[in-house]
Amino acid sequence: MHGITVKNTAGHLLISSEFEALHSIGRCSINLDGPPYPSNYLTSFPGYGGSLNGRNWHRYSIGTGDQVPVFFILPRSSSRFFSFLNIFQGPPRYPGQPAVWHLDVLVSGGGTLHNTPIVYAFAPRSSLPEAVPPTYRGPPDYGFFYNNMGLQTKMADGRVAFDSRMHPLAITDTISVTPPMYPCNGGVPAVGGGYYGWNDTTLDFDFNCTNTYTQTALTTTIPRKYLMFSVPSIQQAVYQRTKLGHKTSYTPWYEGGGQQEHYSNATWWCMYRGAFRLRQGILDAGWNQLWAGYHFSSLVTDNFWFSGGDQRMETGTQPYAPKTINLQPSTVMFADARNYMDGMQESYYAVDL
Amino acid sequence: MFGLRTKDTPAFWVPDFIPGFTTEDSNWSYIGSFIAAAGGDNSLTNAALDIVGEVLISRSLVNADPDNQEAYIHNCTRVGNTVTATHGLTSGTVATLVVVLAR
Repeated sequence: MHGITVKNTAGHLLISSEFEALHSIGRCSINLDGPPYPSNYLTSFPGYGGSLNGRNWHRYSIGTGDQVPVFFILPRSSSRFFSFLNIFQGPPRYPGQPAVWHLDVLVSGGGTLHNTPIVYAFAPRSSLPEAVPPTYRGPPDYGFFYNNMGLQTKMADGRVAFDSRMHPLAITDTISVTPPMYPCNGGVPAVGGGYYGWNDTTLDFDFNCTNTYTQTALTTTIPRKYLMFSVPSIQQAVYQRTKLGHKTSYTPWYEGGGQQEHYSNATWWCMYRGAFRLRQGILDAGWNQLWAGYHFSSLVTDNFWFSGGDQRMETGTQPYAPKTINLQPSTVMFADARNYMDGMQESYYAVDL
Repeated sequence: MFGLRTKDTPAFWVPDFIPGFTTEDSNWSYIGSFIAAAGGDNSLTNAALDIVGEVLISRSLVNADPDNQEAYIHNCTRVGNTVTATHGLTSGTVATLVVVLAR
């Protein structure tokens, strides 16, 4: 038996030649491949209007080869919720370069590009291209040099398990959190529930998700402005409000008599994804709005035969019947961003919050 | 007091910069990750899981279009030094990234 094992005071195994630590790849670029236009922000029900608390959709990118990186967000706002929407691999930017991984992030509060978080990526040392040097940290007048000092451990097969020059990731804390079952401020909307006036298209339900979250106190000593986190947004939900409208109209006897039945259906739906907000000493687990849509139809029947007056509108397709799925705990990992900042500019990003 | 601390060139522009890695700060280690394809199973075996005290498994959507889909992630279990992701009727309908942490 040979190799190295390092434990901390609590006896936790932290460095071992049996497994590869994650190392910093650097800061991800934002929107390099363009935002997913036209859906990069949502502020209202398409085709209806009204207002939603909304979201912005940002795409971050970094080249790491085939290994899936682990992404951490450094929020620049204590009021926004963030969702790790999706991780996916794209082709290299140029032939011969490593494949690019993308992280799509939702930020609550649509309509602006403010409050974009900083995203850092980490991967095992062995998966990083050799072209990626240890991050330069010296002041500019030192010139560009690579640090040749530090500690490196290798696994039995020769892969580098730990390399202190590559800023290995120190996960300082983890917690497990779950958003509440129902994302809407208004609770669970009614589908149908009796008839309203014909062509009633007044939305009477609060689809926003600003007040639906669970709070977990944090024990970390890292200042809020340097605390970054990683958590998958696995939770999904769709909820729908439907108002059915009806009236009967009568034709005067002197115009021939008879009656007509008028029916309408107004439906609003919203799809949500799990979202997380970092405040001073607290992590909130809640929801972000992902998509929304509106459906309206209206028709007139004459003695139960369709007789015109048909109106129909549909924006988007409701993904599935109303429900919440994947409502399971998400593991939140925390780390100190100060260890991975690689440019002077970033000290300005990490504003006081 | 025991553990490991490595030093790094200070990043002078970052206030309160913490130079280097220290096991005082670190609490969890990354063991590995794998992707379970939609409608399939997959697993990770690592001898390190035999010598750690606690294991955390984190799952997220990967290579999955977040557009209108009823996306159920895989179920995960750990037995000995193996973490397995399995699918079923209401699980594993989309690709799932499984990240394994331990300490």
